[in-house]
Formats: sequence, structure tokens, C-alpha cells
Amino acid sequence: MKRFLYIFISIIALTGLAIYNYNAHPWIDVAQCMNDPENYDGKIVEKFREPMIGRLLNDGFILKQKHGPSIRVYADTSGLKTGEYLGLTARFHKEGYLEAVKIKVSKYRRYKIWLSVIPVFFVLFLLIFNLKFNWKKFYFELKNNA
Amino acid sequence: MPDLITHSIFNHIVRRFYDIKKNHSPFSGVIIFFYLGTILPDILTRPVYIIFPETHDYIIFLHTPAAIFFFSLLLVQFLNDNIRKAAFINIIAGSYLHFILDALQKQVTGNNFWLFPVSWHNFGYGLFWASQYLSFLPVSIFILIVLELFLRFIKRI
Repeated sequence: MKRFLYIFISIIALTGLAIYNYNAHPWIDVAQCMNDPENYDGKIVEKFREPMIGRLLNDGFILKQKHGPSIRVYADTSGLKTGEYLGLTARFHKEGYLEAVKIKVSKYRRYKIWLSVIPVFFVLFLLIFNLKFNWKKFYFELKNNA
Repeated sequence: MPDLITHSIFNHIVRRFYDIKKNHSPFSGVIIFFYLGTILPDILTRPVYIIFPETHDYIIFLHTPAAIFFFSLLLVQFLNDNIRKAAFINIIAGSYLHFILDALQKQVTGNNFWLFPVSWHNFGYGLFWASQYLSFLPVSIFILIVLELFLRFIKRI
């Protein structure tokens, strides 16, 4: 009984936190700005969808996003390369462009992602090796040799 | 945030110092939940919003101490009573050490909302960029090997 109470409390708490997160987060998404440019003119944008440098220009670059529109960004281009992922905060202008405030190339991001897969498989292996599922009681228990 | 190998090495080193007296087996029993906790905040969020970036605002809360607490509480309800409490403590310990290492990273945008949902204050102390953790990886692995050899040596004497 206690077990089901904890499951119920956890699900309610996680649902509440998810709803609060979605509605109360402080960052501005670039998609919000593009949908209502007048309202977001001059606002700082912190949230992009996997931003990447699409094309370098003399005074900035074209920002490419996964599942999002490309946007013109005015910025100092020193140290930037086409195809690199970025960390970016920028000021939105209602004409539909951004002016970089803070910019950092996420060097080796692809390597970081692929390297991170190794511990995931390692932990998965440990769990499979050490646990077995008891279908009667519907929980995992340690194997005798663990 | 640092890669998960760096997270695992950092957490393993911290745990092994605690284990010098307790002498736990490194990778069996409830200790495995410590390593699950180590990677949990990232595996709940990163793969989802890297593949589906539009989900970011729905799931990023799972990378906070409050959400991890409730997620771990939910997770351990699917474990045997005998190990439930110990597994919960191990998952929480692993996850919260993960947050501490994350806080040492420099970031352009905040990601360390330790007081969520009470506050959106970002507890980042900005010492290293993520790419620097990767450059340190060979050193981290070397430290890990030396530590393991040292622990084996002092257990023998």
C-alpha cells in the first residue's frame, strides 16, 4: 500500500514540476520572438534549437537550428567556423535578426555525445548483470551472486 | 555539462575514498545504483532534446535536484524492499555529485537550477568549459588508474 502511495506522490510531483517548468521558465525562445516580433524587440534570447553556424559572413553568420528557422546573427566572427555548434545569448530585433551578446563555440560537442554513450552502456550492463525481475511482485531484485 | 565519462570518473573517485573503510565491491550490489544516479540527470534529458529540440521546455526540469528526488523515489518503488532505501540513497548521491560537477562548468546559458521550483537562480561557478573537461580526460583516466592501484595496494597490507 505504502509502495503505491509513493508511486502516486512521485507521479503527481513530477507532473506538477513539469507543468510549472513549462509555464514559468524565464528564458525566451527564438521561436516566440519570430512569432511576435514587435513584442520581443530588444529582448535577450537564450533558447535556440540545437543552434549551429550555417554560413559565415563578414559581420556575422546565419544561425541554423534543428526544426527551426535560420536566422541572421550580427557578431564578431573571429574563432567561428561553419558547422560548429554554439552556446549563444543574443538580442532580438523586430526586423528579424539577432545581435550576439555572448557566444561560445561548443568545441568537440559531437565527441562528447559519443563518448557519453560508453558509460550508459556500462551502467546498463551492470544493471542487467546484477538484477532480475520478479514478475509476481513486479519489482527488480538483486541476483544471488550480486 | 561535462561528458558522462568525466562524470563517472569523478563520482567513482569520490565514492572510492568513502569505500576505503567500508570495503564495498566496486560494481555490484546496490552500489550499481550510485552509477545509475551518476548518469541519470543527463540520460533523462539530453537524448530527448538533442533528437527532439522542441521538447526542451517540457523535460529540462528533470535535470534539477527536486525532480531527480521524485524520479528516484518513483524508480525505487520497482525494487525489492530490502534494497529500496539503499538504492534510493545511492541514486541521490550519484545524481547530486553530478550536479556539483556540472556547476563547475562555464556556460553561456544557465543550467544549474538547484533551487527549482523555488527559484530559477543559476548555481554555476564557471571554472572550465565543456571542451576542457574533454582535454583533461586522459589525465582523469590516469588518476583513476593510480587510485585503483593504490587502493588495491593498501588493502593487501
